[in-house]
Parts: sequence; structure tokens; C-alpha cells
Amino acid sequence: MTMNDVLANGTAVPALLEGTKAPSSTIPNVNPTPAKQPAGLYAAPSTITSAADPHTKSYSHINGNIAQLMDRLTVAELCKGWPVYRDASEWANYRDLFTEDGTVWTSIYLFCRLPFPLYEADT
Amino acid sequence: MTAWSGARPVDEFIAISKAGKEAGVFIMHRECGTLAELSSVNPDRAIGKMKATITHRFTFPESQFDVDCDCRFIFFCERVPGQGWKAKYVKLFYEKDKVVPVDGCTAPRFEEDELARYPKGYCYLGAAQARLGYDIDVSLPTPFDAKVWDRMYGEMEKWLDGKDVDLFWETH
Repeated sequence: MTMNDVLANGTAVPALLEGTKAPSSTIPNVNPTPAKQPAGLYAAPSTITSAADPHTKSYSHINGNIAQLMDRLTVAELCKGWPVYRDASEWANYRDLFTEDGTVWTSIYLFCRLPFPLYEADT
Repeated sequence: MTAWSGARPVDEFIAISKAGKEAGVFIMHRECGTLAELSSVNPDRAIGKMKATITHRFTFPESQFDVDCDCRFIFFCERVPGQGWKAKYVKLFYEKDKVVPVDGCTAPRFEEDELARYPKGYCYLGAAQARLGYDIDVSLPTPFDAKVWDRMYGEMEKWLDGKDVDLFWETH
């Protein structure tokens, strides 16, 4: 696909020479109807591309009184500790983000096959 | 496929993370925006929503590349007496991932049948991590699985409504 191919809606796009301005008549009309999106592996997610609101109600999320603002600020601070502390190996600060029985989910089920000596007993 | 659960007590996760770093596992996170919501019935419960990109650097014999996975961390937080706000559960939506060649042009090819073993949303991340020998939790929330998406939102609202939550599902 090069610059002077066609847009998804079939409109031919003229080649533009560097430093030249396209005459207004050659600017393509953008079709307001989106082209049909691909299916299968390349399909877009049905949820994010849906207009449906995933929440059934709303909670204190902006504005409010000072106490609410402080609570939300504190919670947001806590969240940002994950990238800031874990990436830098600040383990004490990282651990401080969680309750005593805190549980986290990650994509890797790490226990079974890692060659780490720590987990040899688990293989 | 095997339904591993990626749920870990945080102390185990820290031990695993330390061991991983010592073995050269190179994972970082870019925070992209964070907001919080407060319960209207229980003053000690809140949800934190953090958009982030997990960026896992892989060094394969033929190429070095990142898998960047756009995600949303959901923090189920509670106010602990004498300690303040803490996270009790952290579970993520894995929303969109891609392979990024470090040198701008070289990256391994992932075939469709390999990618199909992992949920869309983190299929490249899962496939690349699996090539290293890891088992992948395939039951994590993504925007491509409306059932799990709705389940996750339901649990978030239950948390904010002061009810018990159950995040320990396995769907595959």
C-alpha cells in the first residue's frame, strides 16, 4: 500500500509531491459509514467497540468533598505504586501497597516450569 | 489446554518476581492514567482503575523484541484500620497487544494456530511467554470475551456495593 493507493472506502488518493499542496478538489470525501471490520483473529473486541456501558450504576469518581477527593487520591497513588515500585525492585514499598492477604493475578503461571532453583521442588 | 490460574498471594508473587529478575526476566510497566471510585455504602471500599502497558522484553536467538500489552489494572481496595488504603485483589483486563521489534525490523513470526491457544487481548504476550516455557493463565479478562468482561464488571460493582466477590474463576 502506497500513499497513492486507495482508501478503505475506495476513494483514490492522488499522489502528493513534496512541498505541493493538494487542490481542494482532490481531497477525498471521507465516507462516514465505516468499512466492514475484519473477523476472526483480527476482529475488534465486541465490548470495547460496543456502545453499551459496562457499569450498571456510577460511584464517586470525580468531584465530591475533600474527604472523597483524599480517598480517591490515596487509592490512585496506591495503584501507581505497582509500576513505580515493582519495575525498580522497591519490594518493601511494593509490599506496602497490599493487604496482609493480598492476591494478584498475572498472565504467567510461574510455578511449574521455571528453571529457578527456588521452585525445583514444585516441578 | 491446561487451566493454570495466575492467582498468587502477593508474597509469593514478590518471590517469583525476584527470582525472575535474577534469571533475566525483563518486564516493565507504563502507567497511562489512573482513576478511583468509592463505594457509596461502605466507606472502606474502593476500586482503582489503572490503564497501563505491560512491556515484556524478549531476547530470542533470532531477534530481540518487546510484546506491549495495553491493559487495565483493577485494584480492589479496602481501608485497613491503622494502615489506610490497601489493595486486596489486583486483576487486569488484557486489552490489546502487539510485537515491537527492538531494532525496528526483526521480530519472530507467530502463526495463527499458536496465537489461537491464548485469549485475544494477550495472545502475543501469552505465545511469547509460552515459548520460554511458562504456563499461561488463559482465563483472564479481555474485551474480546464478553462473558468474562461482564463477570469482572459484576465483581467490581459487588465490591463497591459492599458484597463478597469471587475473582477465582477459570473459564477454559
